[in-house]
Amino acid sequence: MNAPRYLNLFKITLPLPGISSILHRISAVAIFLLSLPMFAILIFSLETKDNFDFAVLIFGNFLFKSLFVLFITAIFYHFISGLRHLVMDFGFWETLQAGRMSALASFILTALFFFLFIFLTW
Amino acid sequence: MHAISASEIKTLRLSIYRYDPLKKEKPYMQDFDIDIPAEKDLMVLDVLMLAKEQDPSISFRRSCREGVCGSDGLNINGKNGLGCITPLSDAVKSNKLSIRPLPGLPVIKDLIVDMKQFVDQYKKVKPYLITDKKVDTREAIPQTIEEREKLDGLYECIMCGCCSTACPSFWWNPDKFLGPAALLQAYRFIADSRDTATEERLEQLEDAFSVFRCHGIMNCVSVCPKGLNPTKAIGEIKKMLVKRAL
Ligand code: SF4
Ligand code: SF4
Ligand code: FES
Repeated sequence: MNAPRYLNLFKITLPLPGISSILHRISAVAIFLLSLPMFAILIFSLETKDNFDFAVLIFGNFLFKSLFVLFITAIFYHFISGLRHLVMDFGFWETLQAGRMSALASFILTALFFFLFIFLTW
Repeated sequence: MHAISASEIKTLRLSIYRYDPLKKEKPYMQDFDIDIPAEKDLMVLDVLMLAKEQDPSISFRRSCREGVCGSDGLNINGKNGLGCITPLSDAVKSNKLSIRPLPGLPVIKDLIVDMKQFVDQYKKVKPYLITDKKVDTREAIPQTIEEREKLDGLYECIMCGCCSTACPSFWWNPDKFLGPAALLQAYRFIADSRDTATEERLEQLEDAFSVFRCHGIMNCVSVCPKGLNPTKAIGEIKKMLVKRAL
């Protein structure tokens, strides 16, 4: 028998802590994927002065700069949300209310960081 | 029966997930217009019954109609809950109500899912009291008030399955991750002062999947119609497992 299963992630309500957890995973994947080109550029730029100047040029490009901001923001979010999970592993914030508050706090902190980072580096 | 006058009724747009294994059709959503009394706050289950009057082929489970038996776990406007104790005022958004089966489990027909995976996980945690041979179980085994209080918030589960089928970890690994309902029961017996199999119970849970696939997403807590907190029980189990390993 090939019974269907109902699973439409766009139709099923996820509470804030659920969104936080999924973003935690997505940020992990983004960090992993982006870290390869980022490290490649870093290593390349450290070889010669010309390479370094070229790397600087690359980061002048809007797309690259955006990717870089995304990369750093993802690291920040992953770190913050990881801390939140650690606290929960130690048995705190385990009520739904606390879970919602801490998830919301991690979003707000990340947003603040995002704008601050753009403000400081753009 | 006296007819309801037009001013006293309002029409609800109801949308129900339909699937018939005997027809070679994919699942689809069927729409109904349901007339309901404007002043009364009906339950979602009442509306399903009204829809069944229009189309008797709609299938769903229910029994007690008061949140005790756990048969009518449904996905109601995106959120799992019991049809019989979810009032329309909580569930309906802009006069629309969509009812789908509990997510992730094989659908038998319409809103009826196959609960086997859920029950299998429940069986695994040995949801019964295990005592030393020395204890005569025909006698009462006394508990202090404090010991008994530890079971509050654990024993009330009615096995409706709303929590486990709202849990992403259970969707991806329904055979290896026990899921919130089974884990709540696991802790219910671990925490019971009369049970002597605590060590064996913990040993059975220490692998990477049974408990540790829970990432504290708390979907389970947000849907439990009994207001229970599986995440907290799972946290307690995790703590005991870590202590034991040190
Ligand atoms: S807290 Fe754990 S058990 Fe509950 S929904 Fe999340 S992952 Fe599943
Ligand atoms: S813990 Fe709550 S949601 Fe889960 S099966 Fe028990 S009563 Fe249902
Ligand atoms: S019919 Fe029994 S819990 Fe809803």
